[in-house]
Amino acid sequence: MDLVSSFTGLRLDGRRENEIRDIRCQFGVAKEADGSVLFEQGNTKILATVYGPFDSGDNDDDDGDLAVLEDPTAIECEFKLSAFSQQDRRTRQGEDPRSEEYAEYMETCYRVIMFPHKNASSIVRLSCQVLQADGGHLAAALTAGTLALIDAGIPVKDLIVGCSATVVEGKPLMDVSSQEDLQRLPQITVGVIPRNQEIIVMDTKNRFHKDLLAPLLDAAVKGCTQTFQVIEKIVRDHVRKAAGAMSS
Amino acid sequence: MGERRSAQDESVLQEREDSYINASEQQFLSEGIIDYDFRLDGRGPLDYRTIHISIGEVLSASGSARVTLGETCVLATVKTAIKTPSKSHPDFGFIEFSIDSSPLTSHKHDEEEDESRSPQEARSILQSVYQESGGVDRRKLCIVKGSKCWALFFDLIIFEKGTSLLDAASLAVKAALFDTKFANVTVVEDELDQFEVEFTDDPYDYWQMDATSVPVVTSLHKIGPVFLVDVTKEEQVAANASVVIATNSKGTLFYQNTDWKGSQFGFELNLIDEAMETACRAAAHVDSRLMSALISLPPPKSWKNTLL
Amino acid sequence: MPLLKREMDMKQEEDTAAIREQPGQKTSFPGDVVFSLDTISTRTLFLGPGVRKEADNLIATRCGVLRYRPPATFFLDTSDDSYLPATGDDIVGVVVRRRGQEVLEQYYMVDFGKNTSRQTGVLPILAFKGATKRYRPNLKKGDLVYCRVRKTTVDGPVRLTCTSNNTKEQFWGPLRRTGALYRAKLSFVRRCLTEGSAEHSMIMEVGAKFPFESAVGLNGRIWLYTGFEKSQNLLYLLFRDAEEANGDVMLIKKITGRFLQETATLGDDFPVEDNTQYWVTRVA
Repeated sequence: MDLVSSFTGLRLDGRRENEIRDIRCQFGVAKEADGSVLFEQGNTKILATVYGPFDSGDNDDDDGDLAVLEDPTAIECEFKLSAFSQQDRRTRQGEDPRSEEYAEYMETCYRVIMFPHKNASSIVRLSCQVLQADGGHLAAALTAGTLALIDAGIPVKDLIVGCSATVVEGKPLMDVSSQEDLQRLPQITVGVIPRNQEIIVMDTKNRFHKDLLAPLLDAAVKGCTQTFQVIEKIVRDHVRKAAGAMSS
Repeated sequence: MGERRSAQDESVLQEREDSYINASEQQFLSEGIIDYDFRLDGRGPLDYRTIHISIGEVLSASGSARVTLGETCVLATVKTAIKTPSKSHPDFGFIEFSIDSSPLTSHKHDEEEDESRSPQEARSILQSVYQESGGVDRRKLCIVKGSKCWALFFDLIIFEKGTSLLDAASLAVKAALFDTKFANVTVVEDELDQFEVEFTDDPYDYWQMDATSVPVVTSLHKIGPVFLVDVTKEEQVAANASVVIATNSKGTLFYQNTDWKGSQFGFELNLIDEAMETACRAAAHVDSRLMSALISLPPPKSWKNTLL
Repeated sequence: MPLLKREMDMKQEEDTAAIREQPGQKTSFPGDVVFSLDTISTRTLFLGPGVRKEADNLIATRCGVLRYRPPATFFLDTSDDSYLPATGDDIVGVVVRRRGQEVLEQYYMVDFGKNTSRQTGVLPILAFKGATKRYRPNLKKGDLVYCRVRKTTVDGPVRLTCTSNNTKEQFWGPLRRTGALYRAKLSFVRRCLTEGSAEHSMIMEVGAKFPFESAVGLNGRIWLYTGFEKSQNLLYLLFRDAEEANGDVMLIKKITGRFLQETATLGDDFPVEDNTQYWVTRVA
């Protein structure tokens, strides 16, 4: 089946090549967490929760020198696909190897933007759970994680936004859905700081010729810019509403 | 709120600090309930707090429901699959539960002791109510006796844990079951007397189970001689006994458990009767309200009402 | 050459005017330049949470609204409730355990986390006013302590202390267990400690007519004590209602009046039993 209709130029879900899916967020969904967000990009739904900064327990023994975390910007990330998130139900046994890889990408990204903890034995724990898996999981997780960090009020130097891209018959498509993912086409996901368009992480899937790398990257980074514009508006509205409830 | 720390109290400030109430607050609370029939938030003894339910949120599941009751928020999802029935029950389907409380507990890196209604206990109670005791009629899940049946996998995620976790979880399970879409299948028999199940291509060709007689779980707590439904944290601390039952609209009892919280007086037999009767009344009420709310929802999408 | 006082005042007024002119309630994102320092002349700034200085600009590190207090204090007012320790903060903490080998080098691990997350700092056991090896507070697990953040470093846990070089400010120390401790919103706590706010005048007004002790921790924990059960509950309700009032001046005045009336007409009250030996208990 054609991913891009030759007649209308539209993709299977009605988008054009350079359009990302609709984004919706709900903040503060899990109140016990320090920060949480229910993030939807098209039909991909992710619950991101942040705890921290909190004591890592390194100093829990009774004697010895006070332990200090070797990495002052320590952040632990977790990426989970829920059992019901995809077509076939997954059992928990046998962790998806991609999940660990995605978690490492997330850690790399957030470490760049975090400040050193003021309390040297503390860590931040970020967990992303995919409730509905419709493609672009790592990209959505990166964006959702940033929003959760914002909701938790953890100071950061900048924001990170993620986006995926694929290419069909030479034409790059922005923000890959699961139907497009199934075709085993070359795919790329990037994590970007939108302010200066700096690429922090890049993940590729399925092999492709190196000439395709440039257009893929271009499409993905442009997708990040679009995502950031949407996120910016959502967060500003959210803060403005909350600011209205504060008195000066 | 005042904090009473006795020498036996080993726990440092945890999240329960807000639920401890001192002696005079406890007295105020108990007096209000026993003498004036007033709970702290003005509810009657058998009134639930406002319950928010939203069904069909998770599109990748066959059915889903998110229930918010007070501070407790639970998401229940159902996935359907075809399995071979067990030899001992060839005309029964399967039901399996799993509970995930990771949005809550990510920060507890050292395992702290769970409270009495921990998620694991909730899971075994739900399994007992809906699967073992026949809360869901498993015969309805049979496709070909002895060869093919439906399996229902319930995955619950606890977004927030307040009080009344079991109540919220069972309401979510019942609403998710109401929402569950079973794809219509055709059974093909081949030469070797093996049955193959073929799914329909039509996404709107499904049947739904009648969830009217599916049970709900109700937990009651006792303060003085009064039984309260859906207690808050303060009321839970002040209560001296609790009762959990699972019952359905027909009055069948699927599960019961009583906890005297170490009181030295125990329970007299007539109090047990009264507890059961009160619980059944409360459960019947919330059950009928739930069903009428679910039935009054607009019908799910079909070819008739989808814009093409 | 030092400026004359009149000139300095004028410069201050100019600065204040220039700052006020800048767009006010703009919400900021982490990484945004929220303020350009070229427009003002004073070089000593007090930066509160959420803002940091980079070259000639102030950059936001969280999402919120920039607030300004003359002469040169900037901070980001955020709606969320996360507390991060900063040097000089007064906080109410809970002792977790005692740690260390030599008595002189031991310290208490004190938890001052805002929510369920636990954030601990170290408080040397001798860091109390007038403490010596033999005569010092003996704190157990679960005891409350009002202390000051001395140092936050990258290579160690947060250092706390109950002493100060300024002998006039000596009100830190252990708090009675029989007081009432509860968690409040950070914005409420900040308002309580700001002179001129409705909450601050409420505390002063009540304190003038009714004896009570309170410790307001910038980590969002407030401790109250009257010594009597009923009045302590009423005091807690007063603070909680003031928090819900969210800055409404009329409402706070009304609540204060109601509290004073109720405590005046209180019948017999039951003193809270308290057998523990305490050290410094006078808190501001």
